[in-house]
Amino acid sequence: MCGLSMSRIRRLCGRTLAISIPFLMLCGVNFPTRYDRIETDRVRSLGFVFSSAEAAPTDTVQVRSYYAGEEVDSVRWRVSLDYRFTLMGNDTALAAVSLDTIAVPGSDTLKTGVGGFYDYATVGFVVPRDVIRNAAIIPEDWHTLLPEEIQDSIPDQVRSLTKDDMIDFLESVAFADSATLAALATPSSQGPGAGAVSGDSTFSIMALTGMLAQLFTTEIIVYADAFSGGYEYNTRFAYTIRYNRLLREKLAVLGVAENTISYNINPKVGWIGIYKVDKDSLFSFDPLENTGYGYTLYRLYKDTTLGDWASGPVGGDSTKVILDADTIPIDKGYSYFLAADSAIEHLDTVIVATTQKIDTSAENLYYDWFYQPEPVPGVHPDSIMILNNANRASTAYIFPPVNDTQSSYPFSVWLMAYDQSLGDRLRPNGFAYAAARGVLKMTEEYRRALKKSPAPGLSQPE
Amino acid sequence: MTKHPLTVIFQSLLLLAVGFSQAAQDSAQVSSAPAQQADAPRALELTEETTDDTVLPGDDEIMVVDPPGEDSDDADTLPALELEEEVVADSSSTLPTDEDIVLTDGGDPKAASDTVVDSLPPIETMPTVLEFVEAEYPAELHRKGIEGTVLLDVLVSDSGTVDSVAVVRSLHPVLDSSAADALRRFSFSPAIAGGEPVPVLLQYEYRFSLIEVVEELEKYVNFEGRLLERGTRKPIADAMVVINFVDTVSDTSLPVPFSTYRERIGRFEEQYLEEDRLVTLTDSLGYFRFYSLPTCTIEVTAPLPGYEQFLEQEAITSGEKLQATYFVQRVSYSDYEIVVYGKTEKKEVSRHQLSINEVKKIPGFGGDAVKVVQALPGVARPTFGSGQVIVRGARTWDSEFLLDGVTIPQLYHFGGVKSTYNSDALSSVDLYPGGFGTRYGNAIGGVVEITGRAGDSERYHGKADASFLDASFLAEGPVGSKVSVLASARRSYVGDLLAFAVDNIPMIDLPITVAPFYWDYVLRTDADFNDNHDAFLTLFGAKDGLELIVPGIRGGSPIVDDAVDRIKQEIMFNMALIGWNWDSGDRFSNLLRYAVTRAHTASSIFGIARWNADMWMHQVRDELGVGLHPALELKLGADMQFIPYEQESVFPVRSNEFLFDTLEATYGLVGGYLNGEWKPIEQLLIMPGIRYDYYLELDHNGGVVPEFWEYHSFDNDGGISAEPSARLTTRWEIIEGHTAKFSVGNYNQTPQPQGLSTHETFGNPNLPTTKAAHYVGGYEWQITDLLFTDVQLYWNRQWDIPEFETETDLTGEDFSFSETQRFYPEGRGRMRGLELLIRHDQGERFFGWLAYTLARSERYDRAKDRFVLFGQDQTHNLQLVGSWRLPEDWEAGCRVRFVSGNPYTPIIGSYFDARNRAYVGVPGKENSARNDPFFQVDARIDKKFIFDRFIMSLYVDIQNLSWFFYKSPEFLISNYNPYDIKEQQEDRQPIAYPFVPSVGVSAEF
Repeated sequence: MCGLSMSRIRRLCGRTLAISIPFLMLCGVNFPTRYDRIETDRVRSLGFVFSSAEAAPTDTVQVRSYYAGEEVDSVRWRVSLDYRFTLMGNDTALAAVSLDTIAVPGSDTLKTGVGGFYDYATVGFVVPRDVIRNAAIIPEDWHTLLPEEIQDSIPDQVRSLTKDDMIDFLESVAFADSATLAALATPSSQGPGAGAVSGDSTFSIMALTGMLAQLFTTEIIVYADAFSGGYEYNTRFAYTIRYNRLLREKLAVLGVAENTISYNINPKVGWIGIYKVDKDSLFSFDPLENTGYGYTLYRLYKDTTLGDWASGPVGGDSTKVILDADTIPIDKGYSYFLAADSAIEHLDTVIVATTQKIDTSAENLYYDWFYQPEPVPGVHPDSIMILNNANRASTAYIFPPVNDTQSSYPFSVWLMAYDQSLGDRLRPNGFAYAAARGVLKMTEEYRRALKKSPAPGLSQPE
Repeated sequence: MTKHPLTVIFQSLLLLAVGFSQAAQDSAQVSSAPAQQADAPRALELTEETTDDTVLPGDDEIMVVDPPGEDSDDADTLPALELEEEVVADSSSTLPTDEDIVLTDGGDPKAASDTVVDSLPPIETMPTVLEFVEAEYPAELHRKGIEGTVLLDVLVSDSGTVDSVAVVRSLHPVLDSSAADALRRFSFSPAIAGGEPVPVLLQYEYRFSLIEVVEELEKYVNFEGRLLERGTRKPIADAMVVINFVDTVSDTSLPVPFSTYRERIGRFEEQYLEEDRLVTLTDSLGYFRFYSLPTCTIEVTAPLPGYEQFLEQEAITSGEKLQATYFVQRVSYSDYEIVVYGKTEKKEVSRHQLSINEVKKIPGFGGDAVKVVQALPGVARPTFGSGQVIVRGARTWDSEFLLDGVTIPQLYHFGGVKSTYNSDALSSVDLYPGGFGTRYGNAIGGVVEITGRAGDSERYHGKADASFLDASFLAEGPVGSKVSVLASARRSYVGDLLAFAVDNIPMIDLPITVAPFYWDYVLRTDADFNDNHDAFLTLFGAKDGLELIVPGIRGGSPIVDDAVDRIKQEIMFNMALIGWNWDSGDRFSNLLRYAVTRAHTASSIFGIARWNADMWMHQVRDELGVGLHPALELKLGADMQFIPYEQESVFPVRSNEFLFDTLEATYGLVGGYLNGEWKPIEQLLIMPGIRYDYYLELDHNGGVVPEFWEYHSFDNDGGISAEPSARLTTRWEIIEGHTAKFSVGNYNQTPQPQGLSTHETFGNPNLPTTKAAHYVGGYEWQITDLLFTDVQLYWNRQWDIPEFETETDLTGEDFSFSETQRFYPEGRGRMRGLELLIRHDQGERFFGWLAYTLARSERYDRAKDRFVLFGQDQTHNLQLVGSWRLPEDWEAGCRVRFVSGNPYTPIIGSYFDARNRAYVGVPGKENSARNDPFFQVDARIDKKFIFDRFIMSLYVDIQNLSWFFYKSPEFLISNYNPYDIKEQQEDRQPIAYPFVPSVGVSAEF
């Protein structure tokens, strides 16, 4: 009897539906394009990566919108600072205006011209200081956002404070200079928030800061409208604005542990490669779990800025080989998996849903893979390569080529990795982007087998 | 032989004495004539039918008869008197001579009389047999069939002894001698003439009768049997069982010829002869018996209307009793009962009643009778797998689903696959699409009422059924004379089959596992106490379980559910329903129902959301009927529900948090109604009614005056959460077979979805009842006994519909995150339409109907301030349903549907939500586009195999035969980008209803 409106559920159900597509095809569904396959004749937005996963008021943020496919002619940036939604999921973004109003002058750039492989648009902007104060989604009776049992734990003198009182106090901490912070460290002192709260209340609030900070969180909508060939492609992102970064820094000065306040950072992608596993008809693979199979990892890309961490998994015995090579031999008796590593062992602080208390917890990392076989005239792209990544895992099964028009098929892959954790109110998502190129090269034995027994289940050349 | 109905009859008595003629002239009764000469010998004729036993004839059995003569008035001849049925008057008999007796010599008796009669006194007392001696009837003679009479002259002395005997007419030498020997030992009372005993000469006819030989035949059963209907084992009562004797000579032990024997046994009670065949009738349980059949070969048959002729040859053996059971095949097994529509008095304007047996054969419903309501006028085509019952444009939750008058939690197993109550355990399904009377409350759409049936009170019956989906059984029978029991259970195994296939067939490597299952049961006990009281107890329950497992998918959190890789759903309920019916036989009747239901719901979605709910539902319904007058009956009813409800839920909300919620609430209503049925004239029925419902869960001011529209001009607040209803139904049979009808009424129900809409956090606790008004007019025409048509026009309105918040609720200055998540009682709906039903009831070969609905259903768009099409609005809905009985127990059915496509909201653009990694469609005008029409042809073939003790049925039910040439769009599915920006068109494709063949088998006995 509850209405579930969380987009996450929609996504999961959507994925389930996507998995069911083979069945739906029996009903006549056969879309010409795939979500994860980049078409060459249109712009595909791969997503946004902000310079920081979340921002505080007055922060300067750089956002980059990545594209693939057809080249983008121009990008128009917009922003809505009055984004409203309800518990059950209805939302509306009011007063979307040009991002120029808050943009860093001269930061708007567009990089294209590499065949759609690594195109992006960038802009920098400053988060207005009053964006949280003006947020309609933060009610005057702010404490009603908390579960009833949590509300009961808040002292009455704190609960009686207005929204503005609370914001005044939080800003007094967030924007405090060192002297003010020192004063705040004294219980009897009258700090910048003295006009709003008494000294005793200050300490009460500070004790609850970690929990309360999540209540004073809002989102702004950043739009990137890309234009290409007379068409407009719209992308939007709900970017989280909260005081947490500032509070985390300032309270650290006061001796409060950083992990007291939740804070999210972007994940990083260490490398992209393709596993060639010594086993055919294997549809899922995790080198840490499926240790019984030998493999060769053809590493197409690695972020050298990450040092040793990006060197990839340890090969170990002779059956587990790692090669920095962009050509993957396609042969009979093997399975192929696109893979990436963003196993940054960072533990972001989050609010634990059951207790509403701050804790350190590992995030879930998800991977959106995109690919594009280099077009071959007369050959349907599905005959060259198909990815299956319904679970958005770090490894994605590759259906190898079933067309022998060419012996080698170049391809490109893109990855958007992101983190997620439920429970922390309006918790931001961190994103990372990476891309790579490679070549699927069929062995002669594979080609002979292909001629002898074409794969009937896959798309045939058009 | 133990009893000898000896009929010693003096067939005729000839007075040979001269002068007796005068006495004869004086009186026809010779016995009263005075004797004129006491010592004169007299000539008498007696007739004796011999038997083995001898009983002496009494005086009254010795009769004097007139001698034959040309003229009974002739004074010289004695008239012959007819006694009983036989008359023997042989005036030409030659009598033995004796010296004391004047004998007739065959000459003219008149001449003899002339010489002696005047000298003899009249006989005053006739001789009577004092001692009868039976003549020997040798077995070899009566076995040969020799029978007849021996005519003898007997000279009875004045002492009553037999002086002499002479054979007058011979039968057989042995029998002549036997009869004479016996007569000689006879003893008579002497004849009296003139006051003195006198010798007389009698003529005595001694009869040897075959039938009398077997008159005292022993009656014993040596052939008994039973007639049962082949396949069903149903006893055939009052049926004629006929024996034809094939050979008549094999039994040499018969004491008499066969034909005589047959004639004799044909006179036994319980059997009779008809054209040389022996006939008896079966009793109420189909039993029959034949008595004392000879040893021979017989042919047994039973000519029965509606059954095929059968002929069985049997051998009757001496000293043994033959026992046999004959299974007689019906001409057709297509239906066990013929239910004729329209024979029950109709009291509603809009009511469609379905006969269970016939509708189970309609293609496309898998034999489920309850689902067939979807094929009736006024009911929209449900979306595939939805289980919806959209009645006259109202949502499913606007309609009430009842079992024997009480609400059931769930009409269908999930997806509408099957109804939860086994169709075989139902007696009828009623659909009230609108304009129903005050008996029903808490519904603004329609009512579907299913009625359970009692178990068979006469015999045991069972049925087992299996299809791709599930298997079920039903057993029923009497327990004693007044109680019957019916039990049924069903379980699906489609999920198990799928799981088995996935586990064991290497070729099947599905990325998901769907493991649905359901079960249900019915146990009903009926007691028929007496003519006035009967009661029943129904235990009914069902469970739906579903697990959709996506291995490897990364769902939510274990704090919600450990099973983060699957969707789980479980719905279960058990209910006990007690019913008691009382009918005083004259003016009063009462119907009482009490039901208690325990329902449990548990769901979990990928560890992201979970909820569990439990409820008890107590229901009481009582309806007292009072016949105030032959033309006026009142019904006073109470309708109560009390539903304690508990729920615990966890689910994520837009702010990325988990919302933990517990709910304890009590739902229910207390309703009362008064309904009248008045027939001012025979052809006119007027049924006014009022009803008042109080809703426990609501907190609003209900009305005082029944609302037929939204009253704005005056304050209609009643101060409590209750609503009045007023309804009127009329039926007028204008001329025979033609009926006009009309109804108007207002309706209300608790806000839906119940519980959520009034939830403290997610809903609006102050919602009022949702209300509606129905206006229905119609015309019925019973064209022939089998052909019926019904046309109805309806206009319904709904208001105070809870409407969920919209985007426009977020744009105002007064927007507050914590207060906008509410339902608003501002929804409105309007529905109107025309329905046509032409139905051919079950005839010898065919039944079916044509149902057409022209409809329009709209809802008010609060944000845009306009009415838009309802999502299930189907302008045209044409359905043709037919079922044909074919020879050899084949049956074929066909169903054709043509329905307008459902409206949908077009997507006019889309954007990429980069944070949530999904494309989001930009909707256009709500429900401004419509899917292509839905066209579907279903077919079904049933074949029955009749065995003696059971019937096996096979069926093939093919849904969507038309799939091969037309793909009916069920709904649209979007590509990842719902609006292809490059092509500037929707990237949507219709999902066609698939081609679904199914095979099933059932056996019943």
